[in-house]
Amino acid sequence: MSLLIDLCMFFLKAGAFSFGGGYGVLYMLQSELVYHSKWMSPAEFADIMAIAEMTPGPIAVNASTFAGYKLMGPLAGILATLCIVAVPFVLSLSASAFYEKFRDNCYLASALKGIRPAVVGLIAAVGLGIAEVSFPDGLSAAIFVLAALLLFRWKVHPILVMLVSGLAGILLYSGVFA
Amino acid sequence: MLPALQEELTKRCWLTDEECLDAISLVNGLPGPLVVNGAAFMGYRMKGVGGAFAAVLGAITPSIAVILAVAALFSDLAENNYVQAFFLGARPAVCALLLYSMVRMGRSARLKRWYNAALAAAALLAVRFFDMPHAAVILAAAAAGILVCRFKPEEQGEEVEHEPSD
Repeated sequence: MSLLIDLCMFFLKAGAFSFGGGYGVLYMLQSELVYHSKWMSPAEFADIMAIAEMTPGPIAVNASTFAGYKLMGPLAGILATLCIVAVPFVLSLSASAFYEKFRDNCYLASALKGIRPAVVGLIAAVGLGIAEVSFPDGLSAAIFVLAALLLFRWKVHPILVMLVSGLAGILLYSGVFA
Repeated sequence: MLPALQEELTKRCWLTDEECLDAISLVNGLPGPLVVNGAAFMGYRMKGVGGAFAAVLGAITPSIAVILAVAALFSDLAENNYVQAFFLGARPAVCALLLYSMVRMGRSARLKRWYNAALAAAALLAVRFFDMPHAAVILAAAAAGILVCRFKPEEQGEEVEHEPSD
């Protein structure tokens, strides 16, 4: 029970600081779940990311549902998601209610100008953590290049890129064609 | 997802285009997934607190259901050879996707300006090598943003464009 409360508190806090959209929350999930409380391994977190990217919907919602499920089952998955959206929900609601005051608040706008670049740095930190467990050999580097080409050059949809890369993984690693 | 939401809401005359754009640009500055924030904001505009609850539950329930189904399936198949091979292939793609979203967010964060690039680098170093808490980094970055706007008044008036991510 106390673990469930810890989990809820953690997701509440993660939601409160998830500036920069869904990606802003990933660093917090990774650092807490993987490095500090060691609730899951870096590779498990990479797989959660893969599934969150492959399913439609906001990545923060997907990742927290899955993380909660993996830790304590379906109920925890639902609770984790409700907790992660709780603070943003209250803030957005207040923003809607006190719309005129929010719109003309110059501190909010200039604070955001600093937060945005910082979030880019945080995403880089997430990427480095995942890269540590993602490149066991040259084949995975080739898949990375393929995925990057599909995204940057041919503007393929991320879900499709994930599926293609996963299929490439089956071809190269499952031994079915070896 | 937000453009789709906007189209649907205006088509049904629940909100005007202008109200939707205001909502998007405003909730963009708040923590949380953009879709959830947008749903709460627009829901409140239409039907008050109850409307906000309904809109947000509507926005997250499909994701929760799909993820729970996938998670249940995945935990049964986690040891499967093909599933493991699939994820070995998917992991490098996750790295590529993170790089892609960094480049997109870097554009709206105006990383071409040296002080923004420095801020991004400082945030990376702070969490990666100095183990600073995430919240401290966000608060420090917010303070830095306010300082920059003090000393570079031309930054103040700039519109922050909408970042098309979830």
